[in-house]
Amino acid sequence: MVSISVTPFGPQHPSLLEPIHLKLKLEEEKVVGADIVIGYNHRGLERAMELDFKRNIYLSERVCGICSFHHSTTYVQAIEQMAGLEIPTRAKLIRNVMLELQRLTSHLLTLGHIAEVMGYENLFMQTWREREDVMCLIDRIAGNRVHYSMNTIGGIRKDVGYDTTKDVETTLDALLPKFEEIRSVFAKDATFAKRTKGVGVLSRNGAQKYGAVGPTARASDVPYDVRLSSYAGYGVEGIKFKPVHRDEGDCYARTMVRVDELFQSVDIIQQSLGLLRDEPVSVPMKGNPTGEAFSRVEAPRGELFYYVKAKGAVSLDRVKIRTPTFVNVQCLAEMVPNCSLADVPVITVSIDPCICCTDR
Amino acid sequence: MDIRTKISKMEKVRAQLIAITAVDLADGNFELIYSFFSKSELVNLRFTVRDGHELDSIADMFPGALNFEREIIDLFGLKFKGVQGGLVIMPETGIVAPLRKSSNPSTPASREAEEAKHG
Amino acid sequence: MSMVSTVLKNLVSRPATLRYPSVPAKIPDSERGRIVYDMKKCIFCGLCERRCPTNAIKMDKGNKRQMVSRAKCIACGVCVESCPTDAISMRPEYSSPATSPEIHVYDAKLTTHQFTVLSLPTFERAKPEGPEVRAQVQPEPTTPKPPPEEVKRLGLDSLARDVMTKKVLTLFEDDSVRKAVQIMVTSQIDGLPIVDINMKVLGIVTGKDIARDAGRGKEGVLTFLFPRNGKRSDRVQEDRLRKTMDKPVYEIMTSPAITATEDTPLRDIVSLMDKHRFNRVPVVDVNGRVCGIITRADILRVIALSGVC
Repeated sequence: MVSISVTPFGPQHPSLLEPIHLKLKLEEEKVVGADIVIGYNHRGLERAMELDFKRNIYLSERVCGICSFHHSTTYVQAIEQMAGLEIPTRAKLIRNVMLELQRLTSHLLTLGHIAEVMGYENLFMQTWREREDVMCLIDRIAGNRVHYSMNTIGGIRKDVGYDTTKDVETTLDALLPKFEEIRSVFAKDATFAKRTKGVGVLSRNGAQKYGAVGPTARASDVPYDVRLSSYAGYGVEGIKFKPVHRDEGDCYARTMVRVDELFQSVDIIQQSLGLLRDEPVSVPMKGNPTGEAFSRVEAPRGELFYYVKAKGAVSLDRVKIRTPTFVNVQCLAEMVPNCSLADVPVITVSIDPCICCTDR
Repeated sequence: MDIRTKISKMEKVRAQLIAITAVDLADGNFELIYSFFSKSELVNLRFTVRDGHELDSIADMFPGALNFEREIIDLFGLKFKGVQGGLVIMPETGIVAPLRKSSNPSTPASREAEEAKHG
Repeated sequence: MSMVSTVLKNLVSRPATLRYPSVPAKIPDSERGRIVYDMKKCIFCGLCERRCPTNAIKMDKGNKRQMVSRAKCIACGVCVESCPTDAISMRPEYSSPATSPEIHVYDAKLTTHQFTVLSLPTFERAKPEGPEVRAQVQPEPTTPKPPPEEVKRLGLDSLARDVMTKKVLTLFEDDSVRKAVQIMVTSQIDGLPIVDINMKVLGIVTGKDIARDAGRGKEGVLTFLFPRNGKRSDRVQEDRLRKTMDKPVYEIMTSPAITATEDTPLRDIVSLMDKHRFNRVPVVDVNGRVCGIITRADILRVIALSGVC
């Protein structure tokens, strides 16, 4: 009769950047079940956002550090929908560029973290070295590395000049060969393959049942990408892309989806910069918003969903934020059983958890 | 029963659950919005429920709905059959239903709700 | 493919990191850092206070002051955009840490970069009642008050704080020499301390420094043998002068500057000036911030008033 013991993984663990608590049920070294507890980072932001709708542009940026521009764009899109504003194409394309640049930094961070959790420190350092180039580029454009503060209701705050677009193009041209190197290491390294192939499999059925989003779903043969719904600049004539997807559903597939999305992001940035024309970058907003709006954006980890309800005053009635990790973290209950204890950190990090987004 | 019949239609179409939102309407009623993604568009089903009424859970049809229901139990104090709260707010803190308009009147919307109830 | 080639390349090349803080950090010019007020341009309209997302700015129209709470400012730049007279500018430096929440007070009576610092008492949890509770600000003096029974001493025993001029005109280190010359001509002074964002002295620029830099040329053997005469030498002089005017002041300033604290007696300052042949000595408070300046004119005034000689 084999006994089942319960081991806590987290909330403090050397492989985790943020607090999450998994109660693992172990049969000797094999995991047979997991209970998930979150809520260590709850800040009550949904309530704080009811105070002032203009201040929320800066508050929504600070929900998360790695997907901050995506949160800001989603919120601003919801208010623009309610006010019926049509923002100029140049603002949409610049939002495109900044969204994709943030996706680059986020994917490079996750790839480095996956390599580090496995003990492959060299790859971790090299990926984060390339990430520094992108962060310095963003610093030159927006004035800050993490919270861009470029959005306003009706467009972008300050226009982007010709020098900046040249800067973006030169930096990305210099980075592409380095991304090729990273890709070949992830694809062909024998240690990496042994630790990730066949580990933490999420079936197609499971992904649809739990409503998984983002690279977690796309690696399990569910090609769900919100960018196809043409928000921001993705609906502009001339931007073409196809969602990246694989069908194995294990940690290897999730990593490779992110690596391929690096190249897709660079491509979209280059297409957007080619379509820029001379026009103003914002339209003014008059009065206060009324009504309600649903707004969706593809954050690096999946689909980000905002529901905003207003009633004609400066304060809002309800703001609901649904972040991608909130849904993806439930898939851990299917991925973690039947693997050994040493694989649990790798599986947890491969779904790319962003716990401060989840807890808000 | 109303909620489950409408949502089982969504299950037949193999729609994907996106979110369950609860809104406090400040007169004792709550509005629940179930958002689904089916056939490339967003579909929203709205239900108005009274406070204190025990609601049916859809976690057997859509396992991903469990987290949303637990969050609504924590933040609004509504009840779902067979679902325990404790996801977002830890019970040791002693905070009860903070997102209701009547709790902790520090936002203008909640202050108006207080005045409407008393005045 | 393994990473062996990359690893070997990294082994022999320079490190990718900077040895900060021995080496200054590479900050781009468009970086969003601290906001600074130019009180001469401020018209007290209150737009910055209303638009600030975190309520970090408080305007005191009666006393003509602007108070900026450094802990609350998120460096978003909304105040810079909404000011109708461009009185607020954003410097690309970050706020250094402090041991208690600081409020910087910009007063219309002080000069352009000067501000005084109020430290709030230790952080208190705000009481959860209705509208926001405004923190009671206890203005703590940044320097200790002199004991009240002391008789005002004149003469060479007086302390620096009694003698100094409190209104100090200062420059930031990346301002141009042209701006220094403009200030010197309009205010009829000869020397300006160069300060950083925290009003700590980095160096001094005087007319002598500017003249030395403009007159300096490459004096070599050929110039000695074939001295330049006539129009060509004038043009060379003009070019050199123009180049000097465009330089930032940190290239020509005397650094580090000799300063004195507020409690220094006057005779020590006089001996400093004599030893180093200076005409002015900036005075700093206990935190190292500039709060006044003592020049030869101030010392002459003390001597004339005290009737020593």
